[in-house]
Amino acid sequence: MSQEPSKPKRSPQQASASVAEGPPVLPRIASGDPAAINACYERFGGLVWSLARRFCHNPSDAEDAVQEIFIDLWKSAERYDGSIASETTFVAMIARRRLIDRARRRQRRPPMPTLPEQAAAPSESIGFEEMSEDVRLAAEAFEKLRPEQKQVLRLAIHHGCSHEQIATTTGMPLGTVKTHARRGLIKIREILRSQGKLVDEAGNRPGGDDA
Amino acid sequence: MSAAPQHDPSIDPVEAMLADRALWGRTEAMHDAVDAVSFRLADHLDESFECAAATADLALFPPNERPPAALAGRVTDSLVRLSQATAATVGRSPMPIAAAATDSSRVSGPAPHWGWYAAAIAMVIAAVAWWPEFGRTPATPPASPDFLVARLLEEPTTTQVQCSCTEDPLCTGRTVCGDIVWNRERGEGFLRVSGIAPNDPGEFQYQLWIVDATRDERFPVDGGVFDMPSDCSEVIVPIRAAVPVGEAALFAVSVEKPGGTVVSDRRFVAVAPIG
Repeated sequence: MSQEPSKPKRSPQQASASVAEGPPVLPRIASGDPAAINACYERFGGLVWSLARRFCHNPSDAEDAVQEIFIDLWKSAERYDGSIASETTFVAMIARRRLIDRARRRQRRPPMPTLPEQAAAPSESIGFEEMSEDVRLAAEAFEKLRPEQKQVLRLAIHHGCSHEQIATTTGMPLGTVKTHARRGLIKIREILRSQGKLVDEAGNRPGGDDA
Repeated sequence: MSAAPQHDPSIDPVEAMLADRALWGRTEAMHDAVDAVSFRLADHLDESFECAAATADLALFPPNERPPAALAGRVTDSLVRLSQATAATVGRSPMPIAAAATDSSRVSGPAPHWGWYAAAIAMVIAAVAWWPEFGRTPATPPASPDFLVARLLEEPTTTQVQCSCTEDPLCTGRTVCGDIVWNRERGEGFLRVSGIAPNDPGEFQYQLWIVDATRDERFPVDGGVFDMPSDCSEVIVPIRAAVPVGEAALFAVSVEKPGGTVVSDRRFVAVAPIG
């Protein structure tokens, strides 16, 4: 028999720009709870929009991307495991995957950004103190990278700049760009894992206990 | 842009590829370099690089923009529609439109009987015809599935592709044939299939999937759940995509738990690639 879930009765409030970890919402999405739709948007709308604005050329593209990301999130919510990463990280991962795929499909990259060294400092970020533990750990891990790795990763992560664009901007050979990016990301991943975050190929958490 | 992994002996090749994908997405070079099946397996086993990139992204560039107010309604409306479509799929009639033989033998199951479905459609049509605002034309009985397929085939933007069965045990010793009739502009179509093994809806059901070239291939679009009754030689299933399909690249029929699933285990019994 067809079931018709009721439409949420209240309008979602304006989504906040910062993300505070609160009661889990993704399990409710996974269970098909219609009331979780507004809660999900309220919590993650600002995060997804901020990411989309960075990757998309104009607000219209960004709005389309946000809609697609929340649909992806709806479909992927059942895969979320709170013991592996925070909801914020999971949502950002789903969003980035969609945004990178969109950028690749359209084969049009945003204009090269200037290198915002000071803007990249976590201490200047709005709402950073409210971010999840794994994000704080990632910030600490990033600070442990070599300067060249930081430079390449900032460019790759911020706008999804291609290897070629990064090589042009930094003057590094293409292979060096790839090596710095890979080693930098591997290092961040290793540090997160050493703190009990993320999951390894066997489904185990090398860090051990559930902090 | 080329992203073929270069061989740095100090970096594991798989890790290099996963790191590249987390930063730059999957590329054609990756498709060429790695067997698609094994890479898909790697995807499912290890998303840690994407998680690491996401956390680094959040740490370096925290969200600092508020979305436009109007976007909230657009997003939540689409999710409400999706949730309704998902719920309808889960409880959908196992015999969506018609079969060569009637479905009268099946009186129980997780979804309504086709007879009830047809009656409901007839009642809606009758009600619309009766209602003064809309009742300008006499009520007509629902068109037959064959008629609907034939009408769709007359449209120039309609594609017809043959289905082929896989090596799944359910297909062993059976002559499976069928086709997909799909209109890309309207986002509508039908699956016509015969020869697949009859199923007990309480045990498993068939589910149709659409691989949309404009979406992440790991998340095909749900096209609906259906059954193959033992007394039917052919089923005609209307394709009801849960979300708009941009560019259908492949249709596939999988075996799923009763009621269908949101994420398939990809046990496919039939596939129909477009083009």
